[in-house]
Amino acid sequence: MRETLQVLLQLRTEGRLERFAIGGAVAASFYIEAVATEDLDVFAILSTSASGLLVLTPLYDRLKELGASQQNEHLVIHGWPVQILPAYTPLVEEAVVAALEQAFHDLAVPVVSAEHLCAIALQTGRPKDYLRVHSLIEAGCVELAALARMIEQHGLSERWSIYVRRYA
Amino acid sequence: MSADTLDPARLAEHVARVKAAWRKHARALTWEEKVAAIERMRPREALLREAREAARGLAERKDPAR
Repeated sequence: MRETLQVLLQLRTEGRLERFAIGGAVAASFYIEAVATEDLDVFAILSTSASGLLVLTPLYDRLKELGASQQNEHLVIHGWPVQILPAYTPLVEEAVVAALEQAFHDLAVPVVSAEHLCAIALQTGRPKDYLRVHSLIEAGCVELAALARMIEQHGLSERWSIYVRRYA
Repeated sequence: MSADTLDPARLAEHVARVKAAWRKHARALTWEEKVAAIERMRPREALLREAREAARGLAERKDPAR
């Protein structure tokens, strides 16, 4: 994993991956106990072409130069399947901007906050996402006032009600 | 825990105790240690995923309407 993260940081230094943050189960494992996952989710704010389209080819080409290979929807970087997800909602974009750098061995890696992980999980809304919300809140690492603001701001009140009804 | 203590109430109590101990242990791990644990889980997860996909394929062959 260290080498995988190092490649992502290198891409950021080179300006090919302007802003990114680790999300998903690997980010959650920073706050709570580890759960199995098949991949590393990377949320990224990517630059667009003059026509406003996201152009991933230069990023993918550079990753291949650095030894990555493509496997279905993943890029395998140093043995880890990585999914680079362009910030697809205002919430995910906010999560990338607000991510704090956390130490992983000798690296400083941007990791999505516990509150944003909860809000993104509510937005995604699968049973395993609600479980993540529950685990993060139960572990006491979520600032509930900040989460409440995100729920309000990003229209997640209904999802929160589902979570409270079924899982809380 | 011996087999003669496997009544449902005592089993539930035992499971809760093991889970609490595991959570306490997990909280004490560093992020690097937790990621290493995820890495160790990956081969088993890949096997489970393959088995799930094979079972789904089998079910679809039996019932193409699925």
